[in-house]
Amino acid sequence: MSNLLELDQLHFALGDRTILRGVSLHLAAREILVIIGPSGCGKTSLLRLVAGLERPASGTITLAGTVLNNERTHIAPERRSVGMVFQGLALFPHLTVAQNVGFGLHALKQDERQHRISEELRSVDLEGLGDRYPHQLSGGQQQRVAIARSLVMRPQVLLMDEPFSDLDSDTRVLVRGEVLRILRAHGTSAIMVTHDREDAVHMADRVAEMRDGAIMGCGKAEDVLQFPDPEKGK
Amino acid sequence: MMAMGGKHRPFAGSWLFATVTVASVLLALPILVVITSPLHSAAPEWDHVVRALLPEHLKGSLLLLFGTLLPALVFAVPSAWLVARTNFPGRSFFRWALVLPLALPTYISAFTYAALLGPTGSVSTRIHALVGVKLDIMNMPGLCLVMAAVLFPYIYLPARAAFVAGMSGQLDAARTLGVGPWMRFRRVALPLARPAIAAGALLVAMETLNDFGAVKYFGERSLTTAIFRSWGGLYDLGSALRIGLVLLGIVALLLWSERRSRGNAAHTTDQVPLQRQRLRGLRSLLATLWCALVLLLGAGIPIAKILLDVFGGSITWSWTEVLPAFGNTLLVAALAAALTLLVAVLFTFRERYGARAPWSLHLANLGYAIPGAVIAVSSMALAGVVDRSMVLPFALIGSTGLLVYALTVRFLAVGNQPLRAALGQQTRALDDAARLLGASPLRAFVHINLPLLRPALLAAALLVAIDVIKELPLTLILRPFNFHTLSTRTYELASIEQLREASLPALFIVLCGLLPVLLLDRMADGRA
Repeated sequence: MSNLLELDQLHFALGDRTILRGVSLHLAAREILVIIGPSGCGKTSLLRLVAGLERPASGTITLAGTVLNNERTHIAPERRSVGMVFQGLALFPHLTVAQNVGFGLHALKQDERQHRISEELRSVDLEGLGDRYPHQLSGGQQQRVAIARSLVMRPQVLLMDEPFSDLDSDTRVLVRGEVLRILRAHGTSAIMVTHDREDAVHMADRVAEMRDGAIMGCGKAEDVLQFPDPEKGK
Repeated sequence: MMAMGGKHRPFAGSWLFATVTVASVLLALPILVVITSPLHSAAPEWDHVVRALLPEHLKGSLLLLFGTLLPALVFAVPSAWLVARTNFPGRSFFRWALVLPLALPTYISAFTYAALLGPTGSVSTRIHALVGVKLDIMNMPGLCLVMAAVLFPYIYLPARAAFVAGMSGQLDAARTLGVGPWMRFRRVALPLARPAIAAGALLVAMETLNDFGAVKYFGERSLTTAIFRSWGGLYDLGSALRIGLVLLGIVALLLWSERRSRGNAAHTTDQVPLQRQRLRGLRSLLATLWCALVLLLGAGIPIAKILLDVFGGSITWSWTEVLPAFGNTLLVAALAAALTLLVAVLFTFRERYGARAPWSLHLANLGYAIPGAVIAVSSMALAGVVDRSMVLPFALIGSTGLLVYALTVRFLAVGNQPLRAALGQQTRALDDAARLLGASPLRAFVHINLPLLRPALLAAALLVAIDVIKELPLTLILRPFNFHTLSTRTYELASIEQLREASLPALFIVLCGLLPVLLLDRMADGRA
């Protein structure tokens, strides 16, 4: 598989604190890469760099042959073709489900926008819920709205930051299955970060393990996850 | 598929950032004028001002400051503790009613107390006739008491919020260690609430230093009255600005002390639900009486006096005199609130989406800490420069525009603060989500942040409008010729001893003040 996204020697610091130390990774088209690691190891920062919400101190990010970041270039988040599902989802509370999903489609004509919204809501099984507000939905439904809102933009890469962290264990298993189905159906390339090994096993084509701002290992889920969980092993 | 953009395309709203910087410089100018006043050569009157005016008026300001702070703390802290942590008859009424004195400008309270307890006051003369004792409240201790009775809610509100939340666990721990109620209050609750109390005391101090109407009416001296004397009496704007700088120095010292006293205090949240101690017997009676006394002094007596004067029937009201003042007040309040809000919205946008904020933005936010008279004379100095250069087809001095500008400088922080606080509660993930969906910072702000700020916008507009309605010294200096507002009309009538006639415009001001006071009460507990 040729690489869709390439991260090369990314360094990132917040003030005096070094967050990422020379992270290099790649993502193939239609691949789901799960980054696993303990809290504070730099997983979320890595996603924010790919999204363009932060600028790396050095290193290169390339998406489909276009340099998004290097020492001279920084393409703004809204111009990257990268979608993101945030931890806590960040749904717009004053907008309906349909308005949330259609937020990024403002440049389209009304008819086309409506068509895209309906199509997207259908694909995530939220047909008929377009007029509801986020607080009127269950946790799993909110999750699907957040994914639909990103996917409707047809991003080249979808980033997911601890997408199941707010769900109870039963709902988590259900939603995880649904999200995987949606990503596969759309043929979406995605990077998901989690600290939950079970999420990683179920979602990943490949898993990268991260600790202290560096990638410790990367490979097939079954290979990487054979390593003992450093947090449980202590 | 989402299109990817080119390199380094500047943000489409960067012109807006530039506009914000220009606006912040314009609003910071009066403050800069005061700070740089010693750089200009002094007028011949300055020597006289330094010898004859400054020492006495400085002493007056300091006496007034500490003389007001002490009783204000005595009124506020025990009341806040009682309402927050105990249960007694009338507690839920006193919880909000103790905020009511804030609806009264200090000068209105001063006039009503003078009418009752001044040397010729109605109560004083009766007491003199009955027992031969001559009461007179019109002196420095009396002034301090009147000011404290009106201003104590500035301390009561944050102290109550601190006592309600953030210390239940510690108080329970102290209880299990065998510490009694008084020691729990003194050794646990007070130190934990100290930052909140200090912040409230700072507001009381700033309001005291800003005061002109009450101080002048009681015949006392302060730096604010010195500014009026050197500008109004000696026509010496330079000396007025220099006195303003002394006042600014005191304010800076107060801000520094408050910041120091706050130290590294951390905000905590309670894991334990609040349990109010039920007071019984004499304790419960004393609690009710204490709160009733504080409320009576702060709001009950002045409001009752105003109502008696207005509805007592001894005076025929000249509505033709009051209504134009009412109209002017609404006009100035609406214009100042609109301009303040516009600038505050632009500032919050800049702070949310821009990189490091320019120095002028921080400076412009200091206006509320600077007494109205100081801002008025510095705005006057600036307007004088513009008028002399004749770049505008009209004169700024004596225009409503200059008044609205100076009010915006003074109350920008009042408008800005609720917006900043509300925006601070909006997770940054909302902005990030909007940006990743292709929205520019401006679009994200307008479509996501701003609609969620609606309640805060309303609160900010209301707070600014009411502060403008109550404001006196700045309006007195900058109002156009023959232009009366409710506050200037009240002051003018009272200063020519037409105290009863002054009560109608005063009543309008108090009624206008009630609404935001109740709103403030809700905001203090984080319920709005």
